[in-house]
Amino acid sequence: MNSNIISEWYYLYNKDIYHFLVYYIGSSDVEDLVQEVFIRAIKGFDSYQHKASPKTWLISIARHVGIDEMRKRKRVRMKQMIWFRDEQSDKETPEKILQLNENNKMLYQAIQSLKANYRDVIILRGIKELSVTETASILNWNENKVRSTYHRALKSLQKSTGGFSHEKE
Amino acid sequence: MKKNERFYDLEKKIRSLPEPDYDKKFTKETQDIIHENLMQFASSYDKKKKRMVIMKKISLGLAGIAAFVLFAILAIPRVGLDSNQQGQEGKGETTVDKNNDKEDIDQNETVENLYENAEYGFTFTLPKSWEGYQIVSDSWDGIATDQQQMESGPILLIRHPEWTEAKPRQDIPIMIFTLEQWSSLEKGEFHIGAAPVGPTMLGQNNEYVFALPARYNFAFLEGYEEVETILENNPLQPKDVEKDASKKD
Repeated sequence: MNSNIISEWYYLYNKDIYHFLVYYIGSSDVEDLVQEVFIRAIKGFDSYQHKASPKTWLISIARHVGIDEMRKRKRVRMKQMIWFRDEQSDKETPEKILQLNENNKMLYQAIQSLKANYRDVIILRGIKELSVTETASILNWNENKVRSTYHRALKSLQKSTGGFSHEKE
Repeated sequence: MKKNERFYDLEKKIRSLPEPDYDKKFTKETQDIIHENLMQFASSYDKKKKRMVIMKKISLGLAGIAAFVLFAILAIPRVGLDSNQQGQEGKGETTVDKNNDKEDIDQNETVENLYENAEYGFTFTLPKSWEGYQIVSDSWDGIATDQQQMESGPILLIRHPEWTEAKPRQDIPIMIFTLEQWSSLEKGEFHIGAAPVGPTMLGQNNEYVFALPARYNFAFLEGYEEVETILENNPLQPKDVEKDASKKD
């Protein structure tokens, strides 16, 4: 029964998905998105190929859900700008949710300001600590691309954080 | 400096970024609510999927039946003849005989388009394009001057192979009279249909007269000109039949 498997996966990986989405979206209200990820998993269960682990598969769905959500939020922001509305949000910021100290806050903001593919690879390889193979599977890249993009992303991150991280001579 | 060590500190910092406080924001209660929603969705999605599978099977079945019916309508010629199209007064049941009727063709199987009727004793030569023709049997009724039905007899229709119900073509009708019937018709003791002129004789043997109905082609169906050309070339050749065996009441 598909629902039993999804139920099992949900309790195994819901926190992983939540964690990923908080960093990926840069927002704390991602509970609905966690639900959306598993709804898409139910719908697409028949297409799940057992080549990838369920965790990898679910994170790749979460990434797509995240991309859709960011587009949606961008449209809403544009509308608000057009109508000169400035809706104040009472929602807690991810920085608050994550209880970041000053250094971490800087690093978090630097990651959020990276270009999309750098951010993808930093979140997956750095924050989620997934292997090169798993990251390649989620991003649908080859492993060499994952390695080189990760390297470039680190370089860019180091540059944007300034003297934050000291290169070892 | 080693390449791997270059970003060592940075990677360490990234990995040390904290996870959210699940107990505060993504509590067990929230997780259970989402789980319940998901299970409800999974169950309704399963039902919907099953319904769709059943609907798909039903629609496939219906499509199959429709295709079969369509095939049956197109491929199996319906038994029956619209007598108005043929300008005949025949009211009796019609029967369709596929050509290549072995009984009729007898020994002439090698002659592809020669229709031979052993029962009434005649042969009819058809062009090659008529290969695969059918023979439709019907009957004619003769009405006496007092409007009472007086005589009746068979009429054979040689039907073009491309004839369809939707697109009928001109048949070649051959009326069959006994010698007595023909003589009676000529004397005007009865008439066939409303046509002011009677049938035209195509030939005769020792028992029967073969004739073409008047105004047989008045509907100008496709191929009527070809039929006219065929009839101009005396295609019907009568053959005598044995009197006792073939005499028709």
